[in-house]
Amino acid sequence: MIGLTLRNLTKRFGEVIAVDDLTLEVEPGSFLTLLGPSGCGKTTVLRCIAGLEEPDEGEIRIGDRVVFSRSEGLFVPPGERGVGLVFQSYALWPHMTVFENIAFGLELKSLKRSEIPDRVKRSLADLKMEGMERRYPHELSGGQQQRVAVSRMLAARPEVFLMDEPLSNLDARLRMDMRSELKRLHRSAQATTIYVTHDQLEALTMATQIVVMCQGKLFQVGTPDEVYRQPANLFVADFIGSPKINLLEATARSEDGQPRLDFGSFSIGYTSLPSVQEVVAAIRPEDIALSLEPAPEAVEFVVYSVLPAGSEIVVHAKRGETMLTIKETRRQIKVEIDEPVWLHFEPDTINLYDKQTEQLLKLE
Amino acid sequence: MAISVPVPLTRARPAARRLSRYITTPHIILSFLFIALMFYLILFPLGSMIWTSLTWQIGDERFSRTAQEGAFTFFHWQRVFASKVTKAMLIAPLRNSFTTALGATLLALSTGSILAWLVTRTDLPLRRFITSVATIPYMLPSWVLALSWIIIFKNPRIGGAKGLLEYVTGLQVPDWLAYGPVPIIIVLSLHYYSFAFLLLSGALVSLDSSLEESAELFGASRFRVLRKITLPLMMPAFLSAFILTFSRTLGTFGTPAFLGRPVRYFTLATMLYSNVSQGLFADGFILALVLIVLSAVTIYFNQRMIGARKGFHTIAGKGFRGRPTPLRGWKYPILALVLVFLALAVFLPVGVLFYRSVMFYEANYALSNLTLHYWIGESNPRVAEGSPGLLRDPMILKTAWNSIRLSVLTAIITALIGILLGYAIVKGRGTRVSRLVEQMAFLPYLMPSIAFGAIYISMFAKPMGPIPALYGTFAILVLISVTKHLPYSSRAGVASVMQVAGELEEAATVVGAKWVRRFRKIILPLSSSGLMAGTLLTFITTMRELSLIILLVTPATRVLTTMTFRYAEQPFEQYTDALAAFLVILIFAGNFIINRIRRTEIGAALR
Repeated sequence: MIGLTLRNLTKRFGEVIAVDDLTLEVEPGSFLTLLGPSGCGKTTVLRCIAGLEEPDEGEIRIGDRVVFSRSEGLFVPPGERGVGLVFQSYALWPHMTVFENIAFGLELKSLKRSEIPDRVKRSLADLKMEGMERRYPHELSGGQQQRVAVSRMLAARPEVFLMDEPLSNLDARLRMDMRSELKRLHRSAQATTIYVTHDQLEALTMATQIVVMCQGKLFQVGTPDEVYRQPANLFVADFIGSPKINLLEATARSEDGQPRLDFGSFSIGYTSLPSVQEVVAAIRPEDIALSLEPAPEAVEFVVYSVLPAGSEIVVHAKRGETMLTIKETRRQIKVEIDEPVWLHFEPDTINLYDKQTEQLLKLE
Repeated sequence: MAISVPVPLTRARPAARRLSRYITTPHIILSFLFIALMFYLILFPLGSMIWTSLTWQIGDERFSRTAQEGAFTFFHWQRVFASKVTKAMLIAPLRNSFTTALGATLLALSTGSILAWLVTRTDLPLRRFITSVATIPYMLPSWVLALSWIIIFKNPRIGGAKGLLEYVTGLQVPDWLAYGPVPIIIVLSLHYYSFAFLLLSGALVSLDSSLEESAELFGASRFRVLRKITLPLMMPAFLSAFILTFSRTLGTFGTPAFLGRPVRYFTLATMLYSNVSQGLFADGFILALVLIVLSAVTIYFNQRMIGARKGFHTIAGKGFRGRPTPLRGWKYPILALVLVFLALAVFLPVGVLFYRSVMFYEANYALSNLTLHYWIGESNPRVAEGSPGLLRDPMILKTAWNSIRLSVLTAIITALIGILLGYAIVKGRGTRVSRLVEQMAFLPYLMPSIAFGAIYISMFAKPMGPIPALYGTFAILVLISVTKHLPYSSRAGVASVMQVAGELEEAATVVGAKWVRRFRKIILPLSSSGLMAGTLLTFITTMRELSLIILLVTPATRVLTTMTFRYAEQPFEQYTDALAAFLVILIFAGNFIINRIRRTEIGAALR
């Protein structure tokens, strides 16, 4: 298993800076997702690693091989980097059968002619596509085409798997199935995978490491849990999590020696006083306790809307100018529109962000 | 690469490495190759032509005693622009070119637009039949119609014998109807209306119908909608069709040659030809330059108005879903009119041509006079100086073979170059090099064919260094035909390759395929199907090409079109018509065969 190193990677397209001085260390064997909204540069990073784009600055190492170095003028062509790539559009050659699509790359490796059919068969079997050798891409469904694209990559046995939003064209059900398949394949092949997606749920469920990108910059690197529990800035906090996190502006002050957060229409006690007064408080919908009766230290809100969703209920509640989203998993509870509810906040679950810099405030 | 300023080795090496990577990139190599090639095939000849016009030529001694072959002089330019012969050589032909081009364009546009509207927007019956018939004239050389015209409207005074009309009705055909500007305008419009028809019906079909429907919802009558919504929206298409037709009719050669020369009515194109065939190269070249400038200016206006890419007015998409306008009581009278028009414009000319080719004596149109002699008769010393029938004459058969050879070769080479050009342009999208390649490939579009032919005479008459003298060879015909098609083939190539040269090629790159393999196994197979329609078009346009090659053929390399032209200059009437008819048969046969192979349609190709 090999790792990758990206150092000071910069790529410009005319005036636009697609990747901005990005430095990243990928552990061998990890499943790393590049996560971010459209246009954040994640696909560009992937293509730079693959060798399909030439960065303007920086260095890329795969294992201990330097495959790109601006300062040295080094550039190893895509075919010689030992990486495999699955395109978002699959890029299956329409005039070739499934067999020919997969065999195409194998013919160029030092594989003996006689071994190719075997390798193809095994790749297809890994993706549960046995017997499809003679079909043409247009005769396959979207999901089947996707599997062929993945088995084409697998057949060449690269050490690094690169995947560019491979599941985004599939329907939701298929996506769930394929996510677990891909994780298993990653494990059994003992590869290092770099996976691009804009779907935060996909990133959370599949990755060992998440890299959150925005406008070409790296905003946070961490495990899914770290990124979920301790988002490094407001962008990450807002991007990760469904339903969206509640972001409320507040003033931190001390009252009778006790730290409090003043939201305007109400205030709550907090664990400690942050270094800045003007803050933004981030509260996950599932971290708000909802009660139909007045409760100690609970704040009264009025229900604005109720969205039952099978296993949970999403409630929007309003107080003054403040609107909160609450995720309630107790199925028996009956929440009615325009009725009062009492919300209780647990300070330990609230992160504070500097209102100016939007960065996470670390507290003792 | 030479580095003029001493640079520390650690910085020189990366730069050198990057440069060497750049110049070995396949699409860069292709681009530079094409730039060099097009420089040689387009710009260099143009420069050579300008140079010739500015130097004394052999034979100029009769004009001036100071003439020294090869020396620089403004003499020729003065002669064309400011001398006693200017009126006859420049002014009159220029005026005539404008007159005929303007008249033909207006007529063609009116006819074409009415037909386009009838076919796309009304409930006229037989719409599909009308559409396929209406596009036939564009497959035929425009001068075939001119020949038919002569057959019908000839009068004894100029033509030497009675034409069909005079024979059948006894009416005396006035001179101005038989030859000169009026027939030229009518014949040209009969050819180009189908061009306008295709352009405008395509535009009408792609108009978003919701624009008109919302006007109707406000209560506007059909007529009002037409006047206030449809027509203004169609203005760009109209103007574009106008400009394109105008620029083509301005430089056209065949029709003015057949219908104008017998009465000494010259256009710039025919005057150019006269000069060159008399050996007055410099004068002819200057006229060619005038034509090129006029054409370039016209097309420049078209580009500016339409915006960059639409010089070819590529039409795509099916925007119109609206209800057709009912013609009600007018339906059948209009249908009758349209069918009569098509019969006169399409079937009559071709029919008359065939008929005349089977007449024994020229002026005798009676059925008793019919014979197949001119087609398959044996050599008879009392008839036409002993020439055998068309299909028995080995020279004619060789000429036909030349035509087919030329068209097929041109079509294949053009397709291949199109893909390579498309690849070079698409892969380099956004770079200066790519834009340069694209613009250079567009240049031949600005030059009327007859002027282009003149350029090539000038260029290839003598060997120049390693470049051999190609004049008189078959190769030069192929060369010029391929070059003339560069604008079309590069556009088609770009469109085809664009669908392939993205992720489909990258997927092959990532698994390690080198360029040749990628091109052979991925790009070529996937682009070639897109080019097939264009190949058919190239075949047909080359088969009917006259003005491009008339100046470059010699007895050994002549093709059917130039042969017909020669025959028309001599009193071999039936042979001329038989040859023209033979050419028509070949074109239709070729179209049919290629259609069967590829199931495309010329209408679709032009659309």
